Amino acid sequence: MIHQLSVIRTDELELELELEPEVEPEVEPEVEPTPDHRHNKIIMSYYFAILGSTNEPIYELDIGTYRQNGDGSTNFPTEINELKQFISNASLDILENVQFKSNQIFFKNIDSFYGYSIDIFLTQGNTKFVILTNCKNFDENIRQFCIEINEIYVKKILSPFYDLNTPIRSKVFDAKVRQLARKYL
Amino acid sequence: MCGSPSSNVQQLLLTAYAPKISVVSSTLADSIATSFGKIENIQHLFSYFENIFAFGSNYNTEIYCTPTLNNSPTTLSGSGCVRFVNNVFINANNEASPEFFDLNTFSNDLKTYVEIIDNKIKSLSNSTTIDEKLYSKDYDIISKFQNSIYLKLIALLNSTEKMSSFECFNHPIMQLVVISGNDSKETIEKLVSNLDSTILPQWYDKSSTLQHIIILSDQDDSEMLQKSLKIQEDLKVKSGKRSTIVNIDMNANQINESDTTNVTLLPSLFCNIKRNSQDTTTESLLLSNKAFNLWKRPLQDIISKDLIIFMNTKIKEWNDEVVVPRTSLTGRIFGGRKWGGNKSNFFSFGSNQSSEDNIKETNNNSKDTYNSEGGYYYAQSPEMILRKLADWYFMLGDYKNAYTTYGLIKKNMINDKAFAHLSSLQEYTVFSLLLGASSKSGAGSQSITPKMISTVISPMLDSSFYSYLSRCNLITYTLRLTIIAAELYFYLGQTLASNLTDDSNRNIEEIYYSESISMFKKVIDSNLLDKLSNGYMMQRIAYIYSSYDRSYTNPDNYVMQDPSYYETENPGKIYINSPNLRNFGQSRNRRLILWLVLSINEIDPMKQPLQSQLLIWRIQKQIELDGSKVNGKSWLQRNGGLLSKIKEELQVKI
Repeated sequence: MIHQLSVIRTDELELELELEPEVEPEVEPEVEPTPDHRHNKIIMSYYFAILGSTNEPIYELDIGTYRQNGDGSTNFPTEINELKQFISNASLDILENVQFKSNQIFFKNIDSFYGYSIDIFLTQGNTKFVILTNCKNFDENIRQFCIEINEIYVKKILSPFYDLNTPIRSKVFDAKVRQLARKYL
Repeated sequence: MCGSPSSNVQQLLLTAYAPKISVVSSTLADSIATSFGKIENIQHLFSYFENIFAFGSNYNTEIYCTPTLNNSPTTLSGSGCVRFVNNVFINANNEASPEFFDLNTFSNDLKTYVEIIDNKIKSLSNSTTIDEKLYSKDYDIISKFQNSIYLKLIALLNSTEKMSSFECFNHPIMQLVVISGNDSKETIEKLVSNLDSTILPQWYDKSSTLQHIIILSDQDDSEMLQKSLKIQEDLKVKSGKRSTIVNIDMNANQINESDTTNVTLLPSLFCNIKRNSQDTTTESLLLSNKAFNLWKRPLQDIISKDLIIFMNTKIKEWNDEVVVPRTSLTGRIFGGRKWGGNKSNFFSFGSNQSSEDNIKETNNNSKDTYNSEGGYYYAQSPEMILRKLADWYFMLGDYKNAYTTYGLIKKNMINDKAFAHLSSLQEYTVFSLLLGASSKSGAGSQSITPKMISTVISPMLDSSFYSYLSRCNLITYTLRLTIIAAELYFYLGQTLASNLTDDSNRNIEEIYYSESISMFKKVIDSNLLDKLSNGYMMQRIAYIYSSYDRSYTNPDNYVMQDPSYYETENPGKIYINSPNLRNFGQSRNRRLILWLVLSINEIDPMKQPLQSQLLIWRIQKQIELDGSKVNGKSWLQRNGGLLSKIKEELQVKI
């Protein structure tokens, strides 16, 4: 009976999550940056990927910062855009080398590639949250972001309608990730 | 496998730093040589014997097959590894560029070699294109062809015969004058006196070059033999030159194709690439056993009885003259900054000589040895003698003494602000340390610790890199320094890996690899090389990453135990087979993929379609080994990625 109940509850949760209208991010009134203004500074960009326990991607997001008058758009150069999955994949070699040698779950700046650093959050179920970014000294924010992502990810895998290590296509999940990115990154 | 083992490169480097023998020959002597096959001159014929002398076998064949790591030439020291070069004295004064070699020629030669290899790979299949099936079937042979490209790149880096004022590796130690018994007296005199009569730069010491004359004579022609004996007698009495008469059987050049004792000699690794490109099928030389021994024996005798003995005598002489006064107790106390010993004398503490006088005197003395305008040390200066001594130690494989001797001159070069000399000195100090650590003979086999890397080697390499590039504007020397240092680090790592059965020194091995990778990255980032060469540098990095993965072997006394209750397979538990637990955390195969993809992008798939295609198949093989795939396709292969973009480009091209 308890088991059945729990199924109904997670089912409801999933339905609730799926039916939940997409949360529109509240746009703060701010001055539109002029093209010159945008060109003169480096916009911090992030590539966020959730890799399942078998190292295949289940969720990916390119997002820019909202800080420093950023509008959330990314400015990865074409070369990095074409290579980002290779760079993220390559960092797993280093992760595997160190993951059983320490107790930590957040590996900041575990790898780097020509000015881009990679941070990885390793969940208890061997799922990895990989973040490739060109910004420096935001490790604590990235860590907080990953901790919160972990919470929504755990909720996601509790859903009976979701199979482990399959791509996450939920719009609600995506909206929540974007919201968290806006909050922390 | 996506690269040539570092032991091959190390052997190549040892041959590159072998003593040079300059060969001068008369027209009649050349015509005798040309009767033995597609030979241009005597020097060309002799160059086919380089590999035989160095490694006792046809080393070049090793490049086209996969040698084991254990066949490193432990007996190289003094075994007669030499390089036969043209008459380098002619151009010694006319060198316009101070660079080691011409970068454009280097790039073009590499491009030509890649074309040759492409044709060879294409010739494996009957059709004009090769497909993936053929690649899998002939994987080994195709890999060998591909690996030879990198070896050629290293050979091209060292193939120059140009003499430099700040290192003595290209200064010929011997000059072989090859004449025929029928040559006229004038011709012989002209050839024999060419070393004495040529005006050489002031940094070149003629007395450190031994001249030896080879007189070719037909063994069936008694008149010619008589003439040869007379020439030999004349040379001995009049000019005191040593000579050897080689009796040639003119019938030995006829080859019976069915004879199994025939010897096939492969060309020198450092030979001019254009010579090969004209006709790739006849690049090797087929000699009958008789002809092979006919040429080999006298050359072997000259090397072991004359060259090596001459080198050892000179080393002893220079050691007594320059090193002993410097290092002995009396030398240390009474010797000054220079070896003259009259300045900062032990007894001059109480003297009234002012410090200004001291400086003046130092400057005057410095002028005696170093020409700051020309940027060279005079041939007879103690610095040049010591440099030569150290280089000769290096050539003979005595890396410990080479290292010590290099250390003796460093301060003087800093004081003289001889930056090119200093950079070169530091370069070879590092090489002698790294080679000494990897040699198994025991001479200078001091192992390289991480502390030595951070306190001694890296600062020296950084300083030399900066000094070559910024102060002296010597791009080619910078490239040579960085690439060879990277290779030697890699060789150290691979040697360590091959000698160990457990993981006790795994950390040090990884440090060597990471140092090597960082040096290669330095070459790539400096943008000094063309794109094709840079692509091969990236492939080398990929190969280093592949070396991390080594199969773990259980020790002999290991007993397999039954797993505990908690370790037994639980059918209810999710079984993850994707991470390969055998080498979990030990391999760097994902980085290998990254660097191979970068390499294809760098060599440009439109310009090098076959090479790019081969690399793509190599990457696909690697991706197959990795379990992270969804519906049989890895996320690395999806649209929008660099790999898929390259594939699309290649499909258009093919």
